Amino acid sequence: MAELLPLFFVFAMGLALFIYVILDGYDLGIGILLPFADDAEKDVLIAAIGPFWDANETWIVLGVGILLVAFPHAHGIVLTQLYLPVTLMLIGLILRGVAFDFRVKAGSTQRGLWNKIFCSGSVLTALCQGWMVGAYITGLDSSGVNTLFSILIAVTMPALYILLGCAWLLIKTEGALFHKAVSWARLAIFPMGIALLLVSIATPIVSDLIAEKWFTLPNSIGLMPIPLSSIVAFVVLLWLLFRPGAFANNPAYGWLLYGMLVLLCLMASLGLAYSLFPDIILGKMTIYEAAASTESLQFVFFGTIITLPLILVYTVYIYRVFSGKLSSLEYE
Amino acid sequence: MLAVGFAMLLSSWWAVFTLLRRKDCSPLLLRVLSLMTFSGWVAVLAGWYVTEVGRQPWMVYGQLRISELVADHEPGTVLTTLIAYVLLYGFLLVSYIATLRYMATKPARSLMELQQPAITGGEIAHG
Repeated sequence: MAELLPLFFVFAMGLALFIYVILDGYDLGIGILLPFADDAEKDVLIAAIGPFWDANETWIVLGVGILLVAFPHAHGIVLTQLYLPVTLMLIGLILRGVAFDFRVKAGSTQRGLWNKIFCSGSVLTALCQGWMVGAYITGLDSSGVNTLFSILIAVTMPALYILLGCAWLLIKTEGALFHKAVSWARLAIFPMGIALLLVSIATPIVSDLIAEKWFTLPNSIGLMPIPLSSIVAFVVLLWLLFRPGAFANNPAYGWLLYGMLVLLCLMASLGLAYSLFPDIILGKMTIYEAAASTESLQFVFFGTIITLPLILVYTVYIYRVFSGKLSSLEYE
Repeated sequence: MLAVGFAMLLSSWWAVFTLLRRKDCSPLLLRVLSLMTFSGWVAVLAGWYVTEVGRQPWMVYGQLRISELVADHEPGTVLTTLIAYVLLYGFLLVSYIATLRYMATKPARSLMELQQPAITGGEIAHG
């Protein structure tokens, strides 16, 4: 039992961060897309994420919270090493959070300014999260090559978030905005695909430990589903975006696109999890070394198995209540 | 913190007595009440400050000292991020007060908007 607890918590942490990326990813992406919409569309874009965005953000708090209570030794090192990107990300999130209210309440003369702040905060947050993922994969070791690698992931993240944002708009909107979202997604898919390929090639190059895990023979064959599913998901995405005729007016269109992006994110997460396991800081500390005492973990375990399902239930509930297209929302 | 608490009590009692005796408030009372808008904010900040300063040099009282836990960042890094936070919060404070002023000076217009019968989904989402 005592050995299973760190496994449980590393799984719960991974799950929370995965859900964070696929949920907050779309509302950050819509924030990045804001300058490309006209003034009326900007309001629709914000309304499309209005009921969801702050609940989406709580998943990263849960992920980092689990890191703190279950793996305190790693928490200190990780957050100390990531001090600069974390600080910048917080500034981005703060600006974004207040812009939601101020763009409406500060009067129409100030709306343009707060729209710009909303977009800048979203871009800054996405860049910093990519930077953190890059720094984390390279074992928090900021040499020249590793910094380049972090920059590569930093610029990949906004492209992924833009695609998630477009998929969300395809689910929530109709008409002109729907077609705009398709054209935005067509522009974002190639940078995202190329960047994803580059990251997959670069990861084993910057880390010998990761290369060894992937390129020893029995493992390589067992791991094939991960790159293969990613390729399939990417091809389906291309087909959906460039042959939309096959799915015209089908309400499943947006969900299918979103689902393929989720599959891509899931494969990237599984790949990352396999690359790191059992380390929590690559090459420096395992999850067992970083874990809190068994008594603490047992205590938190009961809290987690009560709260995590509750959060999942209310999340599903919110998405059911606010489901459907935005333009059909009319109160007479 | 305590002074602000008493100021809150006194100003509210003053307002209640005035309203019970006559139906109108003096300009001085209105001015005082509008300034009291920030009393809750000042009280929270002051209380927080007292806790943080009073806890020194402990992080966990009697268990862990701050000096045992502090990260080994360059002073320049910490100073830069501190200045960034101060500038950010200064900007947000100014925006917040400006927005409160704007919202307080347009109640008549808002009332007119509320009286319109049809409210569309888009406008609900703005609120």
